[in-house]
Amino acid sequence: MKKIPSTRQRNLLITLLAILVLAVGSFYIYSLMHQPPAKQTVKTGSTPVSHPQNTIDYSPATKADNNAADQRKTPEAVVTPTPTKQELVATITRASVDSSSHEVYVGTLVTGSTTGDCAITASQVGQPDVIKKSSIRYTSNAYDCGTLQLSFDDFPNSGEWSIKLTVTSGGSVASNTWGKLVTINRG
Amino acid sequence: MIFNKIKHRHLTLIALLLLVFPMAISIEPVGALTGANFNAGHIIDDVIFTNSSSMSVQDIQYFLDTKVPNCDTSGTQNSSHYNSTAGRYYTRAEWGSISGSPAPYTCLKNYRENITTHQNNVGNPSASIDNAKTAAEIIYNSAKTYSINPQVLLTTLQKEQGLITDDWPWPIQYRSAMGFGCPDTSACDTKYYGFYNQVDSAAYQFKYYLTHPNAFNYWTGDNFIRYNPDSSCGGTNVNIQNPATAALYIYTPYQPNASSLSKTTGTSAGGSGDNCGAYGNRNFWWYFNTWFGSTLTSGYDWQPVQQSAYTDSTMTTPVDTLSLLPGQRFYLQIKAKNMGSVTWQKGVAGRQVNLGTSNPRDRKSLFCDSTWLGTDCNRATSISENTIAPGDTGTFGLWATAPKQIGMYSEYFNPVMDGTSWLIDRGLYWTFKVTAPSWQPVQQSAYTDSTMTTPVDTANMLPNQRYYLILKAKNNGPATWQKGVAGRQVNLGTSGPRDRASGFCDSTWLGSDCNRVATTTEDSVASGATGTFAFWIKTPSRILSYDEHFNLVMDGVSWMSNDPGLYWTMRTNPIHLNWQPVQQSAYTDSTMTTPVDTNNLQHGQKYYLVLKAKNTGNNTWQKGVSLNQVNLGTSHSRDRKSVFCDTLSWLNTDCNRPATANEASVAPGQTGTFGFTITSPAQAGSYNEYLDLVLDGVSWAETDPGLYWTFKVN
Repeated sequence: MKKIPSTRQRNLLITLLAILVLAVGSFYIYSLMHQPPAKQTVKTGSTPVSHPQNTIDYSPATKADNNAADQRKTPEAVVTPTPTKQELVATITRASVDSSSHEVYVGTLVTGSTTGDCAITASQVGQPDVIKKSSIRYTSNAYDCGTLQLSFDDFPNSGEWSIKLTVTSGGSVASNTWGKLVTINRG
Repeated sequence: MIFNKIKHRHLTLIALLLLVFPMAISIEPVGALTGANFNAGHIIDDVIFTNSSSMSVQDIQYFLDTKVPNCDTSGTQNSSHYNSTAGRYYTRAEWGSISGSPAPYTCLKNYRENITTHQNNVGNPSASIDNAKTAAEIIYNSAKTYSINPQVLLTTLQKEQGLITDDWPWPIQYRSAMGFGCPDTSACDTKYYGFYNQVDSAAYQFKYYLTHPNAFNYWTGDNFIRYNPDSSCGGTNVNIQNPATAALYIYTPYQPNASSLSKTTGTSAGGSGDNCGAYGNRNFWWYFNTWFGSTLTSGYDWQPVQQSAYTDSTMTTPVDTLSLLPGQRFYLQIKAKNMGSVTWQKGVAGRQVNLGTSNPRDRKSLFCDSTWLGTDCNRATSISENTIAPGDTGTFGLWATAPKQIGMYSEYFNPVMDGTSWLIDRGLYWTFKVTAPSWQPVQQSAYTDSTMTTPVDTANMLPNQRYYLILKAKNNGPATWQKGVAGRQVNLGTSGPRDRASGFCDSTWLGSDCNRVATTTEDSVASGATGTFAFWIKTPSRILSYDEHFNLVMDGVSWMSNDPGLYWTMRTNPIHLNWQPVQQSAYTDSTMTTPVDTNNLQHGQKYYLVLKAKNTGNNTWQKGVSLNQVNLGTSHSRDRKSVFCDTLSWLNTDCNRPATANEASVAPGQTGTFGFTITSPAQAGSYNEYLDLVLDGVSWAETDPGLYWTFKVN
């Protein structure tokens, strides 16, 4: 005669099954999260060690790695494209005060033109402007206004000054003002 | 109903589990990169950016090989461009041909270029190029020349043109491989075309950026960085925290916006975001982190730069760590680069970096030396220099002593800033093999002297004699025996028991303990070669018989692992002093020109007598050698005081030893000459003057031949 399990036994079985699933699942998740990275043996002996451990991923490239390059493989890519005419934009990338050398260094970025003139103007109410001029410079991967530095001695007065960049090129003018005032302390 | 309720509750639980479980397994691994991890002001640390030793040429080549296991040289795979006419995708070769970049394609792992002529194999992978360098060599050399991490160059090649992973790269990708001289807003500068030009110029430029603060548009501090060449996209103020990050922005003057960062996942740098996205610095950051580990250092990180082992702290002679001897002391040196952000300071609590045992940490080392720090044998030494700033390289120099136990050992070490933190474990270890020296006897012989012309049976030696022995021994161990080199000189020692004081000790032996016989005559006896031990022994005065055991010992290191049981049977036999008179004559003086009739001597006169005697005994008469000098003595009765004594020339004042043999050595069978002066007594009369040979300190001749002169004094 087939033995029919009691309700209590059945509940116990179901509970045990649930605990088992939970335990296996938890272990699996834990092992996923704590998977050790592939180890690489460090060379030893009298030869220099050149392999830091656990750092280099030697797995093959994925399709995602090549998406961008593949998308660029068009007939147009073979010849160097001439960029379309862009709006002239002048940007002050930084205006750093170096208190030790008593200089203000101004970094710039120019887009939309490869030639033209730049002018940095430092202003303070009631004081004459301090102006430094340069030309657009090619810096291998971008265009800027070259090294622009203003000596503290160029400033007639200590205090806070605003910095403005003006770029003119082919009849276009672009300007940009540094978002902060720079503090000059002539001592 | 209750059952149904319970059942329902369980079903709910199981359903919940089934729901949660797939979600759980789809969770990305802890530490996976997301755009949220990107810190615009701190993309890469300086020490990592400038770590030019991170990869060798072989490492780079292996990296390129593994990224593109199969190069689609012929372009046979499908492209992503659909040929609607044919109803299928173009093959890569077809698409390349249409686009002006026909197959074959040269993958970076196979790229070669003559860096002078710039001739290369793009478009013809099998082309023969004289004096060509591989891409790996070009990358490595530029990295070294300009002190830029080659991983930075590899990552830049990928972020600019995808060259690292591309399995069908087009020529234009090589032409502007690093994107150098290619502003986003104008055409590329032809001056920098070509792979070598690109890599070398970019590496140079990176270095130039780092060494020329304030000369470019970005530097540390507050900067405004745009999202895109399109100014309408705007930008933000970014506080650039270090020069290397500034260099990246000078090279690629845009930061990724939120849209482009949102595309980044643990498995992909991410595709395009909105129209204002810029991806150069995002992709640099993602690929570096994914391929080479974090772009940011831990505060406590290091990199092994060099490890060497020497015989001693002068570091002049390398030691083979796979043929160490038990108990051997040797000197190790590790050069370690501070890849963290904290300066190592010797003598400053919490900042001093010591070399600790690792795997497991604080393991008690079997190679512990008395010079190690503390007594736990887990701190070998501390950094030698007073200060090692991030990016600088320091030195650990330590003595190690090989254990007595023979075997193979892997000794792991890692720097630790005691009281603060262990540095990241870089898995540094040495493999040490401790092997005992061993040998085997090849030949043993004995001679009368160092001319080695007359062999001797050591089982039939005489007391108080010197003999010359030779042992030829083969070096069966891994280490070379080196005469005069501490810890490498092999000596012949007494054994059975070891260091026993030998009764056959000679004054030429090493030391004064009579337990070190000799070292090799050769300066160097390599493994497998045969060395020679040549030495004197001196037999004792006693009559004895010994099996005299010897073994080889590398003093200061160990005895040989084997004892072949080498011995000489050394037996001293009694001396049999025997002789027979050959001739006796008398002269007026020692010129021996005028014979004298001894029956007609004048009183008080000097005369010169000569006795020639043949050595019929078993010992060599040796003039001047204690216990071996045979003298002429008065006999009948022995040691009688002679009335013919010439006190000025006889051997003693007792007037009983007229002379010794003139010859330095009279071997058995040879004839010796005894010449001596007598003074006739004042008393007239007839005298029979008896003489015999005596080995003073040993014995008189066994048989007295009864030699005498008859003297008649007038």
